[in-house]
Amino acid sequence: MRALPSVSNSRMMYGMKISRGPEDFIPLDNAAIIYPTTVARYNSHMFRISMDLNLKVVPERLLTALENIMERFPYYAVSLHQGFFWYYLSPHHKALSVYPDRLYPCAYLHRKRGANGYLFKVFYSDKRVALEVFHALTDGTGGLVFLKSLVAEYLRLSGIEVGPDPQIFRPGDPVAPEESTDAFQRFYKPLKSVFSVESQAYHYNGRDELADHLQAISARVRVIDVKERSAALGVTITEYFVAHLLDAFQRVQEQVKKPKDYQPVRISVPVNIRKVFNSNSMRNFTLFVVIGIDPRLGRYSFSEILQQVKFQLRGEVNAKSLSRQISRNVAGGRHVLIRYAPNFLKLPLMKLLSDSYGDGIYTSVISNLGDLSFPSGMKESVDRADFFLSPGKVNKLAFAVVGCNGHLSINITSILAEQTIIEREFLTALVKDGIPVEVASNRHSEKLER
Amino acid sequence: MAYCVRCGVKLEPGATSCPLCQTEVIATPDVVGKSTNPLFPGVVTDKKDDYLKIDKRRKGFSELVITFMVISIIILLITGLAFKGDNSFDHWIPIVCVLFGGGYLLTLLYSKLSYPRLATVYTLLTIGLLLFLDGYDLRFSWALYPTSALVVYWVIGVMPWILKSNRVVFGSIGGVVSIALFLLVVDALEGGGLLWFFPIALPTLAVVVVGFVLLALRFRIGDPTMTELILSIILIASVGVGSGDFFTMRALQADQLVSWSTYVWIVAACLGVFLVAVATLKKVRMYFSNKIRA
Repeated sequence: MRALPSVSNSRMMYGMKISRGPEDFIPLDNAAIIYPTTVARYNSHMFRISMDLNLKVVPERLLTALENIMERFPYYAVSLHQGFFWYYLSPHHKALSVYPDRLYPCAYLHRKRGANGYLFKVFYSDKRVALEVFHALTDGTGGLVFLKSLVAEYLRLSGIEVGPDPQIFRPGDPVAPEESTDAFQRFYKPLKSVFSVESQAYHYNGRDELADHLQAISARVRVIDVKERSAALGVTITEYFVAHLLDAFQRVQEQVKKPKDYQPVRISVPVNIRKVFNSNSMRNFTLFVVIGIDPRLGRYSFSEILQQVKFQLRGEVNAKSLSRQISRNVAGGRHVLIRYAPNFLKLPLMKLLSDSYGDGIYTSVISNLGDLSFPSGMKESVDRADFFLSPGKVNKLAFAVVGCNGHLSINITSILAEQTIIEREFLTALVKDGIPVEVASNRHSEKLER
Repeated sequence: MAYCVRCGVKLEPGATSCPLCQTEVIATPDVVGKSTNPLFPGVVTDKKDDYLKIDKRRKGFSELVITFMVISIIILLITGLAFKGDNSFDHWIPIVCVLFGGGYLLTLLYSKLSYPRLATVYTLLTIGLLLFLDGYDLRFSWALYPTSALVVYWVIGVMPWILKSNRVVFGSIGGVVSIALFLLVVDALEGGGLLWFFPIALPTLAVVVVGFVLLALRFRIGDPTMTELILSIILIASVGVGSGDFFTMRALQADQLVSWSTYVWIVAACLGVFLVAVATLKKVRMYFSNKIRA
């Protein structure tokens, strides 16, 4: 295998080459810091994007395509290590592999043994190419660009010419220095008193056993149906789904709790902020907007929820509001007590803080990767795309949406072994709203023993 | 392709039940269809060690506990070095206390949360800590009292829950024997030979045991109420206490039958008469009944 170029670890200052740190030390980006410290069996921090092709996937050719594109993505050819002060990345040049696809998505990836030291894993099945990524490496947009580039290269090796696309990087193209930078640090503005503490949100517990593997229900709807319905209500597709999700959790809370015990229902919506800040970073550059209703004040009708979602989401997705979040997050990592505290002191505290002030303040998460666009050659070859998120132990369910070829895949992952009440409330609400839904699941379908 | 009759969703080809509500699909095979390129391949290819054994919260807490233990031990070691030669501070005692304290917390995090298991580990840890604190200078004195008491607690309060069968019988026998042995040990530890075990403690224990045997028989032949049970236990306790006083007076060869327990015996007599009347006379039972629902 070819040697991959390493990521530059120095910068020029007054004509001098100034080292950012020891050779081959790549600090985690600000959003990624939390992931290695809180990773666990029920909190794998993995996400998965897959594409179904209309041609058979040949593993050897897929591996060649992967090896070819890795030189264009040197910042993904890294391994994760635990240092005295921080977890960090360093260039990694071991052999790459592709793996046969499996029943359970987003399983925990061991940082050393999981994928020969890499922080992503490429899977194949009959006609599918799937990418599972540990979130410390990049976010959904970075993963999507990587997978699109991989599939484009695979198609090229299969004799199909793929047209140009801004989200497809080709082997041999120059690597822009900005792609490997931590955009959070770049857009950080020192601010004081920007930290506000939210109360704990409602979490569905379900009195259910936790499953050994991630349980997934995949729903497929037509984009046009959802678009028409959401346009009639004056909202975007994401806002429409968030509103239905809040309503589903509100109904379930009414079923399982007494009114005096009601808690706010909040949904976390990851927002790709590259466009807002005009950044081309290929590392994490996503922030979370938490949108909620407070059923303690009374029952919200669906139209009231829609109003709240529209008002809150649009009010938060702007450079100023997002800058506040960036300032808060980056300032935390730069604080002298945090920065110089040994890792073994930081880890347990970060875990507790993550549970209390991270996962604890929202009920669930829904991420919409958007309607995928493909260039010529690829458009005809990709039939379907799917996107999965791994939920945490506090939130237990995660919703991921992606559109492809006129259909939206809504993939709901859960760590609850039997309970599907939230999934049912959410999807049957779509059906009642006049949107035909087709479902598939990996629940109760284990066919072969390990 | 079939639809779920309850949820109204279309099911993937080949699905035999709805994943949302588990309703079975009742349709002909051509309606159900056949899966061609399923989203989930139905094959588990992960290795077992790809999965972490400890969940996030436990791992976080255990690391926090270990961190605080290590910090405490380092501080104590440094303090111990600073006080070297000064007998007023011995750092090994607090260090072992920190280790035992960590042991208590980590047991809670890592052990299966079952009462017998936790109680057994905690009893052993406490016995170990007490013996260490007392026997640090290689001389045992006070620790034998609480450790013997902990053994009695384990035999009465934990062992019956470990037994698979005859819990009540073996638990009762074990309880009586362990209490007798505890009293014997305490008498022996006080020095001067066995002074009060045989003349006072053993007969008093025998009276209490007889009381509980009679209570057990009462349960065998009838259906006593909770009030009867509570009053019976008060009666047995009163008789036990009174008997202790009585046997003490006998051991001292005093002229009086009892010294301070006269009123205890009066209470016991009243309770005894009441309980016998309730057990034998239906009218008394009905008179004192406060049942309000059929």
